[in-house]
Amino acid sequence: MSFTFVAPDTEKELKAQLSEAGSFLMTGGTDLLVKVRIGKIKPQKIVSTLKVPTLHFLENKVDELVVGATISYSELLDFKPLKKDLPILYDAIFTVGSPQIRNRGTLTGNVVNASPAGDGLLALYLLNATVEVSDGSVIPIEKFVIGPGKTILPEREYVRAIHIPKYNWNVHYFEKVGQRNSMTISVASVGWLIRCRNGAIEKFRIAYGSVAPTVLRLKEIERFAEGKTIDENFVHTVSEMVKKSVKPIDDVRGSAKYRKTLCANLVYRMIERRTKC
Amino acid sequence: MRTSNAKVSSNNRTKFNVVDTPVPKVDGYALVKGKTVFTDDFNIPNALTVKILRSPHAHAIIKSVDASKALELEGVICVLTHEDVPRVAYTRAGQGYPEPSPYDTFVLDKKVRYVGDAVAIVAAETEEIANRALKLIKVDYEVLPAVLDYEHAKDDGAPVIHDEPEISGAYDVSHNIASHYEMHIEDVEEELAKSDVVVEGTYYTPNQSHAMMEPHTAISYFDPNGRLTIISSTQVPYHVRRIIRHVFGVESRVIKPRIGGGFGGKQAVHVEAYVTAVTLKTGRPARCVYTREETMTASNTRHAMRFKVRVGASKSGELRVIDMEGLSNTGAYGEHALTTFMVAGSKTLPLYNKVKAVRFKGDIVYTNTEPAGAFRGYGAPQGMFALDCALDELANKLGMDPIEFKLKNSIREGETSPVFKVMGEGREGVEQIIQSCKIEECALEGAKLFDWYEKKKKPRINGTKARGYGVAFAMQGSSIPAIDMGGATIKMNDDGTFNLMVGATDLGTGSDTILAQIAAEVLHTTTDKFIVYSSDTDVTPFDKGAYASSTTYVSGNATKRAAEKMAQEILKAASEIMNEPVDSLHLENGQVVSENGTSLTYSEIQTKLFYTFKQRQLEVTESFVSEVSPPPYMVSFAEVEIDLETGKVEVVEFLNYVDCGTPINPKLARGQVEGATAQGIGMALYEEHVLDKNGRMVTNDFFTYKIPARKDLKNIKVKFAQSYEPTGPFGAKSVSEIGLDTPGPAIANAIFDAIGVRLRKLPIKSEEVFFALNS
Ligand SMILES: Cc1cc2nc3c(=O)[nH]c(=O)nc-3n(C[C@H](O)[C@H](O)[C@H](O)COP(=O)(O)OP(=O)(O)OC[C@H]3O[C@@H](n4cnc5c(N)ncnc54)[C@H](O)[C@@H]3O)c2cc1C
Repeated sequence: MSFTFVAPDTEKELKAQLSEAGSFLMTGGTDLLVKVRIGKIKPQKIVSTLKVPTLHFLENKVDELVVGATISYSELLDFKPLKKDLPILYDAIFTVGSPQIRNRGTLTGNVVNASPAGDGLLALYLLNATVEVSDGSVIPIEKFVIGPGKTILPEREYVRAIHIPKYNWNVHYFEKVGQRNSMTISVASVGWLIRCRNGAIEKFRIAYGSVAPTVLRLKEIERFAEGKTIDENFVHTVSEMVKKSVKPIDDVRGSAKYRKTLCANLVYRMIERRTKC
Repeated sequence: MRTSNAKVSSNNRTKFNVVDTPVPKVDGYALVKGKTVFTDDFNIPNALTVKILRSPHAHAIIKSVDASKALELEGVICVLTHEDVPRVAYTRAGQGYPEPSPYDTFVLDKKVRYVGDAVAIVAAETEEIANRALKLIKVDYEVLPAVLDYEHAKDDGAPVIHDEPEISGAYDVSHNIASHYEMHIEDVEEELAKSDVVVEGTYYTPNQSHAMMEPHTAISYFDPNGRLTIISSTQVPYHVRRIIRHVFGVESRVIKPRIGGGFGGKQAVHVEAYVTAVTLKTGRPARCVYTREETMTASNTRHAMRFKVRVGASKSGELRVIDMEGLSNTGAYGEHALTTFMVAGSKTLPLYNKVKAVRFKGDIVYTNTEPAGAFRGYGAPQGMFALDCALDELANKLGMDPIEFKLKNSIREGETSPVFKVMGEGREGVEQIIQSCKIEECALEGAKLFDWYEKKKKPRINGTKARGYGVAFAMQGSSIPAIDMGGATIKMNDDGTFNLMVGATDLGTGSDTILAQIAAEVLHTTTDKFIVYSSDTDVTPFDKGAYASSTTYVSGNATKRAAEKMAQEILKAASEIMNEPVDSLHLENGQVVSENGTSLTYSEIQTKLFYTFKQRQLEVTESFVSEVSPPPYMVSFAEVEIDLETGKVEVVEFLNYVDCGTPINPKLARGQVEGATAQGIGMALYEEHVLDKNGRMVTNDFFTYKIPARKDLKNIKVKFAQSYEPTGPFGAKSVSEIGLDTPGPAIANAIFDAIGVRLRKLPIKSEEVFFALNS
């Protein structure tokens, strides 16, 4: 395991450094270094983004929050408007790892790592976030991620920022079921957003983590929910639909059977929390 | 001479100066500041890096090893196979000699018995070269069928794991039985027949990894005079020295620096034999640091055990009978096989001494899995999980409160249990009358603190959450009586300090600190006046090592004796210098004070003795071996919350009420109990070895093997009972292991209380609770 390490201080230099083969981008390193250590990635060069000032920014616009590539989870959690404007993101990233991991880890890393268990990623799926790439393109998150560990990020390009649209959701919910309470990868995770109108659901978004090759938005259920009122019947139907839609696998963290039933059961949190429109 | 030998009962302890105060750890600052203190921090010039080639098969014969390609690699110095090391059968267990463990292990063998078993030793100039060399060695294996499930190890036709003729001490190798044990007191069948209420159940406890921070590490080299020196991260330096001589026929010096945790995992020879083989072969220093994967998969694990339990009582709650039939998985080799199994009985059964008939028996079997070994609790957590849960079930069936039922049948001060005499470790035990036992205070005061009776009145289910309350009782021991010995040397310096040299091995537990407190208490001075050195077989006196909850008790008593003898030596010297009778002198604040008001400091005394007056060095050595093993006692209370929709179990509160005699250092004692609770919660809820179908451990790192994290340890409380053990140093008993005995049963009992389902297999994972709820 031997490689060079560079930390350019301009985006131009960053791009130049990436042009060499065997170069890997690193921000917090909390995914990359784990992979290097177990030999899954054999870099010749690691290019850190952390010294590039133009990637370290938070731009709070009226309709969206733009999170620069090197903003750590801790910085994001400390950013006061987050909890108010994007509470689902706040709740999701609050569960990432431990304080040490949150001090290093970033949303950008979570997105490019493209794990179906990514907690930040799940919130970004729900929020219809877009990914700003260094070639100027802005790509919806669901298009950007194409499989476990796979994205359509072109070679020698990098992510500049994540754009997160703001919207007035009346209900937000995130839950991660792990093998323990912290420093844990989800056995299954869920999030939903509800916008109400006249006592019924106007807009509904629901996503699951760790139950498919990517984070899974259940669009059929989302459409089904529109115009419905939240009652036991509704929850029961959604739960049944969830059971049919998720496709988990067996692994050390849990069996497919457990995960499937778990996903269906988690919908009942709506009743437990007396969710109403 | 004024002494503190006032007669004390177990209720009133005398006022101490240094003992029973939370002085800071003597090595605390060095550790938190990251000073170079651990084995791998030693920079021995020119040392080779040693790596072990490990078997990918659970059971196979090595037909040939071709190391030619590896040896061609520049920087590879040697590749050793079973043909290059002595064929001497031994046990890796670091125990009193002769060991009760079978001699069934070779440094390298022509057969491999689990995935991870050592095949060859590689030594190279750098770690990178050594790792490359590993990949270039070609091994031709004849793969054999393997035994992965210990419940099938004795089956007819099961592959025989140990068929080598040289081994000795195993019970029945043709049926894969490493050891067997059975005992009984009175007739269990008769008592079962007489019982009004009987409960039967089969209980399982899992393998568990020690998960200590510092991996197994050793360095070996020849000192300038050609004496083999081994620096090792070990709990048992003296046993290492003895075993190395047994295997290689060489004398050595073993140095134990600071240890980054052991929990019993380092109570065995792991790395030392490999580096020694390389140094003997090449003459060069050799260093081996296990990877985390090796530490997880190729060192030792807790013995997984199964107990079939039958308990019976009369209607009024008199316990009549305990019958435990066990099966223990020792994995590929039998280190600590018999003794851990016996402790599952000997450190649990005497707690319930009102019982009329007891039987305890079972086999410890070989399988093609990682060898099991010593692990904090040493069988007692396994035995107590089965016994306490069964008693809880019995109390439930009787309609009795479990606290009342367990208290009614448990031991008290002044009483004994026949089990003490019948069961020892690997042989008969010793009789003992219990002189300190505050189990009643632990149970009753604990119940008050926990608000047990109020909580039990509350409804258990609230919406999608269920709450439950469980209690577990435990005992342990303090040392292995009539076997384990510890020594201490104290030397006085002319600056008023003392060197305290002990073979006792502080593995992070704080024993260096509490031994200094004991010595300081006797010598009427403070702990900062003690320079504690542990342990170095060329310098410090013998000590069996850190295990069996013995350091405070055995090494502590040895230290106390040495300090008392030093006190006499100081008084004698002072009496000569001051020209006053010893009777008129006493020790006070680091000086000798006379009745007539004159005084001499320790510094003045030793300075005179060095240079001007009856010149001599004051130095004493004392040893201690105990005739008894006074048990600490404990009652733990668990409150759990279960999410009915996910099966998730949260330990909301865990209260430990402990009788460990005088806690020599309350802060460190508390840490011991908290840490043991954490490991116990891990064993109860999270930790397990998952093997694939070929016997490879899948949970071989901290990503997949879950020990409890900070947020899983919510509210652990520790309370100490007022207790004083007359045979212990300043009233102390042990405290390091007992905390692991209760979380398993207390949590399982609480889960039953919450959801009415009895889960008898640890770990109780969310998934299991979930399916139990939904079936
Ligand atoms: C102990 C531990 C616990 C964890 N717990 C959680 C958890 O609870 N939930 C969770 O979701 N994740 C968890 N993770 C994973 C990890 O922390 C997150 O995925 C984190 O968001 C990664 O961010 P990073 O900045 O550290 O990424 P890095 O490791 O720096 O990078 C990750 C990937 O992104 C690429 N990359 C980095 N920066 C850029 C860029 N600017 N443009 C393009 N590509 C880039 C890298 O090349 C790499 O492929 C955990 C990790 C550890 C080690």
